[in-house]
Amino acid sequence: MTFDAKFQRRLTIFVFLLLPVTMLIVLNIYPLLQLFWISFTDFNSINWARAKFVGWRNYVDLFTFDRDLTLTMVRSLYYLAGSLVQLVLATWFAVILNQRLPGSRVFRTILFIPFVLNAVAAGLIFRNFLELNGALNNIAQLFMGPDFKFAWLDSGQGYSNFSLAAASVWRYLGFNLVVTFGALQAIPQDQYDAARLEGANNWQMFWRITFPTIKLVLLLQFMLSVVGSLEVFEVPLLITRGAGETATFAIKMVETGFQNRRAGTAAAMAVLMLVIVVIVFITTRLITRSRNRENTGGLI
Amino acid sequence: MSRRRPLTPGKFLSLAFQYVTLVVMSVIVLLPLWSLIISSLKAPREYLDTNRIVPPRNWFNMSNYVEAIWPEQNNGITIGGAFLNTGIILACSLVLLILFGSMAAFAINRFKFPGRTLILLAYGALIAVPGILTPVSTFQVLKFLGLTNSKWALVVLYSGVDIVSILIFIQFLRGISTEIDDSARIEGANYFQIFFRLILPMLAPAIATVVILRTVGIYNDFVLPFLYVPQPQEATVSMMLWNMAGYQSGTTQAVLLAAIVLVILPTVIGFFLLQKYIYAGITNGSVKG
Amino acid sequence: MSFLKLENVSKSFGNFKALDNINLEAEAGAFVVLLGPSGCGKSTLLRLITGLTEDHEGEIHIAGRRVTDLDPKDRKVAMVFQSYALYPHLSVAKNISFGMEIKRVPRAERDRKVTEAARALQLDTMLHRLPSQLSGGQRQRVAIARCLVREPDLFLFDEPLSNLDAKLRHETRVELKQLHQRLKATTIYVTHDQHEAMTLATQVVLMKDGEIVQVGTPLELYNRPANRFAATFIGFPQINLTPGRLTPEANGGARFAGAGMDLLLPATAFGAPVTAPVEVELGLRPESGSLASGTPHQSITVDYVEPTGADLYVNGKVEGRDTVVRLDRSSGVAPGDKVPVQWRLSDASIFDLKSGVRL
Repeated sequence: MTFDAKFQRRLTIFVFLLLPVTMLIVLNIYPLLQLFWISFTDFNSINWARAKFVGWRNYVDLFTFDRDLTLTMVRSLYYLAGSLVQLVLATWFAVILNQRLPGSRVFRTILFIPFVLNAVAAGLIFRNFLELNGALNNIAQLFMGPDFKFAWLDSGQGYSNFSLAAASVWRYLGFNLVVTFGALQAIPQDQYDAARLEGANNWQMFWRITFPTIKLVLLLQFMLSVVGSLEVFEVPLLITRGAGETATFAIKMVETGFQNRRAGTAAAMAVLMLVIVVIVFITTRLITRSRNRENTGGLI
Repeated sequence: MSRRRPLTPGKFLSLAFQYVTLVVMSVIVLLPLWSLIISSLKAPREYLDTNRIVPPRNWFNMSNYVEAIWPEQNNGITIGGAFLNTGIILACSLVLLILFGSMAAFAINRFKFPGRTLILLAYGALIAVPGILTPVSTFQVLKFLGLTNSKWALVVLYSGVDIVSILIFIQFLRGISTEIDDSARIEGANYFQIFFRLILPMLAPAIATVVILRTVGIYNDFVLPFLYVPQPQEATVSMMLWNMAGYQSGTTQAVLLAAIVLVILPTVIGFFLLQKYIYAGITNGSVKG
Repeated sequence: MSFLKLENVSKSFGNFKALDNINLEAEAGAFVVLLGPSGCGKSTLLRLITGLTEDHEGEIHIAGRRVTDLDPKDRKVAMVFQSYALYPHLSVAKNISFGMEIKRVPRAERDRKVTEAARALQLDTMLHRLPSQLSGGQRQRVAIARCLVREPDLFLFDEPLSNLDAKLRHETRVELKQLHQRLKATTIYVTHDQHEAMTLATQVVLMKDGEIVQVGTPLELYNRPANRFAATFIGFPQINLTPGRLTPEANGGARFAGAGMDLLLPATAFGAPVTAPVEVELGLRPESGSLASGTPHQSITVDYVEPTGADLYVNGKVEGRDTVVRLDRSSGVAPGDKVPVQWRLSDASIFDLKSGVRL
């Protein structure tokens, strides 16, 4: 019966979507909405009964009483700078590797290894590397004399953030490399052959052929870098335990919410970060919309 | 016989410069790993006496590894237990994720119904909301479900369908002609049979991609176990390393390094074997997705 | 009682009327070809017959059963799809037996039927292969074998040859024809290729814009097209259409004047006697023409000549109008020549200029 077919179809849609959509709502959408609600209360992370509606106070506090928390956002700039270096390096290596020189595959494999490492392992490896007695100082001693010792990770000092940003570059370079490399492979080789016939050099070929094609992919990665540097959490936590100068906004947020039991303030911090992230996404979308969107496949 | 055209000096310099940058970067990438491996093979005394770049006296000194696997005292869990926890979490959440992801993708790709684009949009928009943003409220949900401090909390969180997986499935489903469904319907199959007996097996390549990408993601994750499952007995490999590296932990450095090597070994080996698929997965998932 | 019967079948997708009041009957054992340009509704009609497309007006009867409200699986139909829709992860044998497994047919019977069907289609040696290891022609045979084991009342084909190369298409067409002659199974076959329709069909259903234009044997459609569309859609090179004026004559015939021609047409060329002068188009197929021995009907100024081996297709102009005529390969015509042509007037079709309907 036709009725059967229609009923069967509705049943299938319902059953197939029931659990995925329930999980989407329970695990993602509900917490997100609740986050907004909590940000307007003085919820203490434990007792709902004692949570009171406080209006905008948590947000006002973020710019007055709690402004030290908000100011940690400035430390994102270290990571943003790091990820720009990372993006330029990744593009450089992707372009080199795309020429299929002998040994390309080996280099690509090596540069990608850190990305497949366990997060904690990668953090500890780098911590071990940068310790006072670590391998980096050992190498420096070869040039600077046996007494050289530099506290790369002294979280009392601003420069420790440079070390952490470098750790971040070390870990994620391979990812950008592979993404850009994938975009480069979409360029047909005959475009380069045609350009070479007309006498173009490598530099001209990069700016006339390669760059226009991967521009959007680079922009997309840049956007993800911006968002990523706002959300930095595990790299400093794993290497310096997020102490002193190296505490980022996300670390402070978790600390405020869990250790300090100030869920309302933590939620307000999260909403603030979310607003910035969404602004970044929308800005990128506006930029890309005015150009052709073919290369990003509609993600943004 | 074809003869290679001689390199002009300019070309030679440019090529040499390219190789130099590649080699320098590779050394930078490999040095911490070299330091890790050689240090993990040094006896405690040797570890303190020598620097961290010279090779160990005995390349086959496994004492640190033995201590890492069978410690005299542990922080509530051994490395074996952590591997077991991670394995259980991986297996359960991958099965659920594959099932939920492919089922949702099938419904979205094959049927028209109200709310179809809304669901896709919701998945897409969540890219902007990473787990780190909602710890306070997610914690409340897990508490409500009675899942705090249990590895099942992680299974639940990891088996939630993500936009990249769902797009990989949808992209692949677009390539499977609906004539397959029609043919099976004429032959008497209902939609469940069509999905489980025909479509799901045909999705194998997409499933492989999702499994590889998510395995890398789940095995290496630190944030979610750190936030929601601090209980030592429930520790994943990430949390086990984190606990071992803690200030109160009695573990010696060299033993910790051996444990790190053990933890990264499976993914590094997997990476060497499955490189091609990982690259393809990342390119598909992040660029085209 | 006819075997397949469609009564007042209509189907709309939103505001678009895909099928408009279709009435069609076919006898048991017929090979019905639904022919028409893309978008004419022929595939929709096929899907309505299978039940894959739902919610239509009108009634469908197959083998004396009303199937209008039945699910596809209950209609006793089997279909060969354009892509063949073989299940790529199953062996040939599993592909053929899939439907029986779903219906929980006992294993012994399944195996027997698979063996039988495989023998009938010369697939015995490849039962364990995967579809990807087969050639295009073999894949199609698997698709047909899958239909055979269902022992359906009706076989349906949806443009099954369009994925094959030219040579294979010819061979497969011959195979299909032989298979039909052997099995005498009632078949509905959808195509946009007039050649397939002409060679395979016992009954052609020509469709356009969701309506049936003409139903008949291939020769009926070719010789007596119902209107201008039918005349131009079937036949290659296309029929020559010449506008002119028709005036009634005694004995039921009529005089056609136009494009330099003044012809007396016999009464047999018309369905009904011509009673009043009317503006018409005269349709003459290229092969109705020949080199004139006496007074020519027309004189063609040759633009170019296409030799096909057996014949020459001479393309030229008469009073600025493109005209094609098939001539003997020995006629030695060259571009620039003026060729005198006479037409076999008993083959002529005359269409009303305004409505395009055959007179």
